[in-house]
Amino acid sequence: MTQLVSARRLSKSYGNFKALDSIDFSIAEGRIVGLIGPNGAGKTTALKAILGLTHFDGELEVLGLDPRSQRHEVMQQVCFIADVAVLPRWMRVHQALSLLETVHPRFDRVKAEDFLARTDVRMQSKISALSKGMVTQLHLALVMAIDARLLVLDEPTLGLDILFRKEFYRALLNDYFDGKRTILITTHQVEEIEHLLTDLMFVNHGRLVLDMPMDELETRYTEVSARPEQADALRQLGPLDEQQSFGRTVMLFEDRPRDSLIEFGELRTPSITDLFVAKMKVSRK
Amino acid sequence: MKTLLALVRREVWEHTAIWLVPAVLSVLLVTVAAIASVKVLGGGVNIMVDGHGVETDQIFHGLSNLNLAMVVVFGLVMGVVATFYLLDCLLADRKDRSILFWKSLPISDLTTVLSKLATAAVLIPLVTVCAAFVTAFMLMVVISVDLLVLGGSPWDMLWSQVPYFSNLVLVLYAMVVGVLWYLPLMGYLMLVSAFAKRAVMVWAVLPPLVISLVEKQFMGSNNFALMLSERMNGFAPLAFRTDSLESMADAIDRGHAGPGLEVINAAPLLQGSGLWLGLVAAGVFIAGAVYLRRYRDESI
Repeated sequence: MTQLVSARRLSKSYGNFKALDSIDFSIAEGRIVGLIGPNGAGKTTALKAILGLTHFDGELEVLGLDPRSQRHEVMQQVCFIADVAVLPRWMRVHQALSLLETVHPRFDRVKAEDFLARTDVRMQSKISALSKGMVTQLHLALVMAIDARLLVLDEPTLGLDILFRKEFYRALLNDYFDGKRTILITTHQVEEIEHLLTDLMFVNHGRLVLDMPMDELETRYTEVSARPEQADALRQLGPLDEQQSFGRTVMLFEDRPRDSLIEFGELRTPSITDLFVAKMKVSRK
Repeated sequence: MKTLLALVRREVWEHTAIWLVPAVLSVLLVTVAAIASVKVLGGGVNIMVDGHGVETDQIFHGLSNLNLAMVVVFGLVMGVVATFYLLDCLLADRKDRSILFWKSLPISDLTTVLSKLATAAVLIPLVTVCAAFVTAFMLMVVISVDLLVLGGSPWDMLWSQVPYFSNLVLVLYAMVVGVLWYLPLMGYLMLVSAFAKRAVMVWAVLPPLVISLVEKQFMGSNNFALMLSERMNGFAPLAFRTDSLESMADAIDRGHAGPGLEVINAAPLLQGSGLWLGLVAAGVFIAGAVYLRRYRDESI
């Protein structure tokens, strides 16, 4: 499997604050990776490093290139949507299409027009006159029409209503993702992307606290919903996290075979949100 | 090259003042001329200069320099437009965060900065000259109507009097020399635009002001201020024969035809150090702007 991005001892400090603290990770071709972490955890810094927008220490290769010195070569095959506000407000839709057609060797105007024809975005519209959701649709149309190898999405649906958010991910999955392309997403709204991720990365305090394919979630993590009288015994096994819910104690275990837990109560695979909360608590300690 | 042209086109989309200002100015001048001539023709107003009546052929000789006069008028106005454009060009997309969109395109920061420089140093001057010539042409049409009404011959009195070729050459020469002369100022404004986060005007004015004051205070001299004012005052004394500029002004005053190509004299400019040092400074400023554009850590 080709590695599209590989980082070794990637670090970045702002004064004394370590935004990235010597992290190693890699992203293989064809994966949809969720980079998840609280504000200030280092997600955006990691993305900026990948996109060649910031200085960093350590090693980082994107598509076999150095994003610092070969930024504009990298950007021929990498697309990104930072959040909805970034399209220039003075621009008209048809201007954006003509511009990309001239400056981007991998942009397919017909594709973008086809996608836009299914929306309410009109060619003559000024971007400042579009609603936030429509701007995102436009941005998505532009990005989907670029035959890129890596698509980076930083909080792409922030501030959108639920209909647009659903539609955004539906279009991304159905019209864009073809198994060869690679997508890296950061978001707060974890539950919305849960079902589309193939890999999961959690960051906190500039460090990677989890880096795992989604299909390992079931084998590595188990949530036990224990009856009160069994809670103490279960606690002896060292859960990652513990929560009370409807009179039951819910504990989350890492790397513990399900056979050894079955006697304490109902077993479930935790949601990414629950796993995230647990991991963040642990990494704060 | 294709990318550069597309980016220049994008600058025109964003900064509509580049074509809007000359268009409005042109319409304004022609309208005023038309209204004035209706008044003159209808009301029999006597044109007076310095309290004396003027001979009509003097007026028409003066009018044969309309092209040059319009270039001066449009040049001054477009100088202001270019200044504001340059101050805004590397700041606007950082303010509205669309820089992240521009940075997501496979365009080097050098190309981006050069496209903005080309807009100010090539496109705006060309627009200026075209607008000036078109306006002069339209004014001549208005005057021709006046002449016809007065019973004169527009061809004999006006159109055949204009030295079209020498006007064109003079203006293009002045344009090229002017752009080269003002290039360090353009580079400086771009550097400020790439540097400032806000209050770009203050950042543009403050450094030269402070340098001048510090020099005055500690060295008692004002070389820096002198150099600046020489740069601002322009290239005309260095690029044209000054004696013929004066005699030219006299000639126009006396109602003779305007300057010919004999006023061009590039030697003082090419032999002096001002032009070359200026170009070096321009290079440094522009390189600085590219560097800031490339490596400035704009927060996502």
